Amino acid sequence: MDSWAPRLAAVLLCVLPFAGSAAAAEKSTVKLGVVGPLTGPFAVMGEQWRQGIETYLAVHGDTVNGRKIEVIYRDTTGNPATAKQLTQELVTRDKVQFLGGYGLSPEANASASIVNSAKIPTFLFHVASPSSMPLSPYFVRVGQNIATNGAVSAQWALKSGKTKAYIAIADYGPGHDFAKGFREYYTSHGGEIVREDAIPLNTVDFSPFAERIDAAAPQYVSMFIPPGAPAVSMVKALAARGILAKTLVVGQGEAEDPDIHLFDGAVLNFHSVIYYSSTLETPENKRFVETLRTKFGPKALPSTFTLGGYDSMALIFKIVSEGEGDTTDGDKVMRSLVGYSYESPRGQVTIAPSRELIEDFIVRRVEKSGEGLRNVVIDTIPRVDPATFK
Amino acid sequence: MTLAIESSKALVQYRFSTYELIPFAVAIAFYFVLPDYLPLGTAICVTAIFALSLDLVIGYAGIVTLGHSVFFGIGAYSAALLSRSGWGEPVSTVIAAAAVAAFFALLSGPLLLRLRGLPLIMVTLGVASVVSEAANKLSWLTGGNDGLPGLIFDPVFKMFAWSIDGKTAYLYALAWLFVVLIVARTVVSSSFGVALQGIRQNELRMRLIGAPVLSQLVAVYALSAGVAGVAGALYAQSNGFVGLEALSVDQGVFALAMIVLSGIGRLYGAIVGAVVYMVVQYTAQQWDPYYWMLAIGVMLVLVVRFSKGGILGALDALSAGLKRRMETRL
Amino acid sequence: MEQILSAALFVLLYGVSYGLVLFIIAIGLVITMGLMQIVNLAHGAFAAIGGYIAVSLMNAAGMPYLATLCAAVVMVVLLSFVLERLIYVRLYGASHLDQILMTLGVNFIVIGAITILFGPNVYPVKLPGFLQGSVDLGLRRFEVYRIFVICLGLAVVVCLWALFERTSFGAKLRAAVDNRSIAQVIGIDVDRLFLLAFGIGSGLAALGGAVGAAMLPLEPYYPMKYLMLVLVVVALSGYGNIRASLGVAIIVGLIDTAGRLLVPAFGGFVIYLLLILLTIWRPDGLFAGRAP
Repeated sequence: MDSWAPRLAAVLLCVLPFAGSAAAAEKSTVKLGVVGPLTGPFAVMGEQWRQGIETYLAVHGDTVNGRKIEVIYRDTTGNPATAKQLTQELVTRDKVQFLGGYGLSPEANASASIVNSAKIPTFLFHVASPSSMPLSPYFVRVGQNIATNGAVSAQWALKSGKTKAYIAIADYGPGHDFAKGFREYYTSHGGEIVREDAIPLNTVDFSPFAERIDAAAPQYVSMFIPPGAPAVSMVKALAARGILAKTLVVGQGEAEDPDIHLFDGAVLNFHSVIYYSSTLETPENKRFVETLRTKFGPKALPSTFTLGGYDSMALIFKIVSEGEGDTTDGDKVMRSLVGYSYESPRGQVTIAPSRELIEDFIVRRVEKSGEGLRNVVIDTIPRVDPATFK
Repeated sequence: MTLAIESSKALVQYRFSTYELIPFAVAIAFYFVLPDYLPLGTAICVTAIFALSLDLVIGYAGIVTLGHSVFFGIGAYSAALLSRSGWGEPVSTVIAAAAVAAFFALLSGPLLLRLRGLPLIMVTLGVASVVSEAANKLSWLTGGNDGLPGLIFDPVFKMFAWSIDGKTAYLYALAWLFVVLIVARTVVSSSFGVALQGIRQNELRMRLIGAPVLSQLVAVYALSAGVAGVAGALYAQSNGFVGLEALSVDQGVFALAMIVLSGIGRLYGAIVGAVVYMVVQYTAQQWDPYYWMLAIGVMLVLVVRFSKGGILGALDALSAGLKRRMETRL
Repeated sequence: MEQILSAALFVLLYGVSYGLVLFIIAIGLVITMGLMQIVNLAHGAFAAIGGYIAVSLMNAAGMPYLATLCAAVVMVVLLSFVLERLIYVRLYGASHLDQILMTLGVNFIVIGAITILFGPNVYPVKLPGFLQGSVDLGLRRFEVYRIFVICLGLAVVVCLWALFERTSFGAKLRAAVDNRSIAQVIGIDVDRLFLLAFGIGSGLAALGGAVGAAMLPLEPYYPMKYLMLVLVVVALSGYGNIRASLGVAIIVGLIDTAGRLLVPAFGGFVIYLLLILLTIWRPDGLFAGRAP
C-alpha cells in the first residue's frame, strides 16, 4: 500500500518532460531556438552567442508585451545534419516561434527546408556565405555578407593608395567567397592582384605561406583565415617575418578582442575590416559592454558572435512588442522587418529588402591601449548595402 | 587477451528466428510512442545501416578499415547529384548510389586488399583524407563547404510524401534497414560467408585449400561499400542536404566504436550499438555537452577491457548463466 | 638564382625544424609500436598533456621556460607509468583492433578532460624572451625559436643513440626486441624494460608537445589533429626502426614544407598521397628490417 507513492513519482517524472513540451505555444511564452556549435572545435561561437543573448535580457528584462521570452539552446557540434534534425525537433516538438544561431553556413543551408515549411523567422547570427540567403525567405542575416566584406576591403586598400595586393585565404567556401568579392572590386577599380593563395585547411606550419607573401612583397595582404588555431598560426608566421610591421595585413575576424591574448603579442599592427569593434563609442555599445562585464566578469569582451546574439534578441523584442505581438504569421513578421532601422551597438543599421543589414563597416588596427592590445577603429565606411556595394 | 571478434559466434544460424523480429517491433512501437523524436530515429536507422556495413568487413572478413566513410559520402553525394539533375524517384536513387559506391570499391579493392593490418589501416585512413580534401576542392561538383542544399525527392512509391514531421523518412529508413539486414544475414550464413570467416581466422589455410581469397575479399568489400552507399543515400534523402561532413573520417571511427560496444560480427550488434551510441550522445548533449567525449572514451576503454563481445556478448553470458542456473535447479 | 637559393634555404631550415619537432613527438610511438607491438593512438595525447602542463606552469606559476619543459616531461613520464600498469599492460599481444579502440578511448577521455579544464579554445603560448626574435644568417633571417628546436632535436638524437648503442639498457632493449623469450631466459626483466621504454617514449612526446607548442598550437583536439602526421612518420619508417624514423621525420618535414611553398593549392595532398603510395609499395616501411 505504501508503494504507490514512489511509483506515482516515477510516472510523473517520466511524463513531466513531455508535459512541458506538450503545452503548445501559448500566447504567454515566446520561444527562440538557438541551434549551433556549443561544443567541439567551434564551441566559442555558442558560448559568445549565449553571452550576447543573456546580456540583452539583462538590459531589457525577459518579458515583452506581457509575454515571456524563453531561449532553448541545442548543440550541433558543427554538424549540418544534426543542425537540420535539431531544427526539425525545435519546430515540431518545442514549437518555437523563432530560430537563431547556425554557426556555419552548411548548418543554415541544411536547415532551410525546415524553416521554409514551417515559415519561422530565422536569425543567422553571423553566417556570412552568399549561398545561404537565397535558400529561404525567412532568413535574416544579422552579421555580414563575406563577399561584401571583400569589396569593402578592396575599396579601402585603393583608398589607402595600395595598388598591389596579395590574397591569402583558407581553402574552403567562405575563403573563396571573400576572395571573389575582393578580387572583383579591386581589379575593376584599378588594382593589381600580385598573387592568390588558397591555404589548405589541414595546414599545421604556415611559414611556407608567409614565405611566399614575403617573396612577392605586396603592398596589401588581404586575408581570410578561420579564427582559432589557423588564424593564430598564420598571424604568428607573418609576424615572425616582420610582414605585419612593413605591410598592410588586413583580415576580418581573425583577432577579435576576446582572442587577442592568444597571439602572444604577435598580432600588433594587424588590421581588419569588419562591422563591429568593442571600442566603438556609441552609447548603445557602452551599455552593451558594461552589462556584459557586469554579468560575465570585468575582463569579458564582446565579439561579432556576441553581437549576433544581442542584436537578434533586439529584433525579436521589436516583433513581439508591436501591437498584439502576433508571431504566428511568418510572412507578416518578415514583411514588418524589411526596412526596419534601429540602433545596434555597432551603430545604426537597417534591414534591406534582401534581409541583410545595411550597416557601417569599420577598419580596425590592433594597438596598445590602457588594457593591453585592443582593436582600435581607424576608419569608417558608412551605410554599406550588400546588394549594391560591388 | 583474446580478440573481441574471436569470442563472437563463429557460425550464424541458417534459419531466421522469431527473436529477430523483436528489434523491429520496438522500432515500430517507437513510431507510435515517441512521434516527436522521429528525426532522431531516422538518424539512428541511417547510422545503423552504416555500422552494419562496417561490421560486414571488419567483423566477418577481418578487413580493418578506418576509411569506410568514403563510401558513405559517395552514396550521399551520388543521391544528391541525381536529385539535382532532376531524377527524384527515391528507391531507385538509393540503389544507384549504392551501385556507385560499390563500383569504387571494386576499383580500389584489388589494390588495397593486398595489404593487411597496420598498413591497410594507414592506407584507408590516407585515402579517406585525400577524398575528403578533394571534395572540398571540387566545389563545383560537391558544393564545397556550403554543401548541396535543397534536395527534393518524389513521394515514396508515389504515395508517401516527405513531410516536416519526419514520419515518411522514419518508416522509409526503417524499411531499408530491414532489407539490408536480410541481405546481410543471407550473405553471412551462406557458404560465401563461411569462407570469409575462414579467411579472417586463418588466411594462409584458406589459400592452401585453394580459395580465391583476394576476389572473395573484394566481393565483400564491394557489398559492404554498397551498404554504406545505401546509408549515405538515405542520409541525403532524409536531410535534403549533403555537405563535407558526409565524408568525415570521424564517422568511421564512431561506427567502429558502435559495433565494438555491442559486439563485433553479430550484425544485430551494429544496430544495438548504433541505438545505444546515438541515444547516449543525444541525451548527453542535452545535459552537458562537455562530458560527451569523456563518456564515450570511458565506455570504449571499459568495453575493450572487460566485455569482450560487447553488450550482446554480455547479454549472451547472462542468458547462458541463467540457463545453467535453471538447469541445475531442475 | 638568388630566389632559388633563398627558397631552398627556407625549405631546408623550416623543413628540418618542423621535421625535428615531428621526430621528437613521433619517436616515442616508434619505440612503443616497434618494441612493444602496441598501436598507441593515444600517443598524441601525451604530447598534448606535456604541452598543456608546460604552458600552464609558465602562465600560472611563472616558472622559467626550461624548468617547465623538465617538469612537463617528468609528470608525463610518471603518468605513463600509471597508465601502463593500468591499461597498456592488457594490450600486449592483443589484436590491433583492440589496441586501436582502447587507445582511441584514452584519446577521447583526454580530449574531454582538456576541454573541461582549459576550455575549447587555443591555449595561448608565450615564448620566453631569449627565444623571441630572429637572427640574420646572411641570405635570410631565421627565428631563434626554430634554432632552439633544431638544437634540441639533435640533442635528443644524440642522447637516444648513446642510450641504445652505448648502455646496457639499450643492449637489453634491443635483445628483447629481437627475441623476447630468449631475453627473458637469460634473465632480462622484459616487463620492467618495456615499462621504462614506454616512459621514455611518452616523456619524449611530452617534450615535443611542450617545445612545439609555439608551432603546433595547443587545443583540445590536439591528440587527434596531429595523430595523422605522427602515424605517417611511424608507418613510413617501419614500425620500430628508430634510426630510420629520424630520416623519415625530416623528409616528411621537408616535403610538406616544400609542397606548400611550391604548389600551395595541392600542398595538403602531398603528404597523404606519399603515405598511400609508399605504403602500397613497401607495406613494411621504407627501411624494412627492424633493427633499432
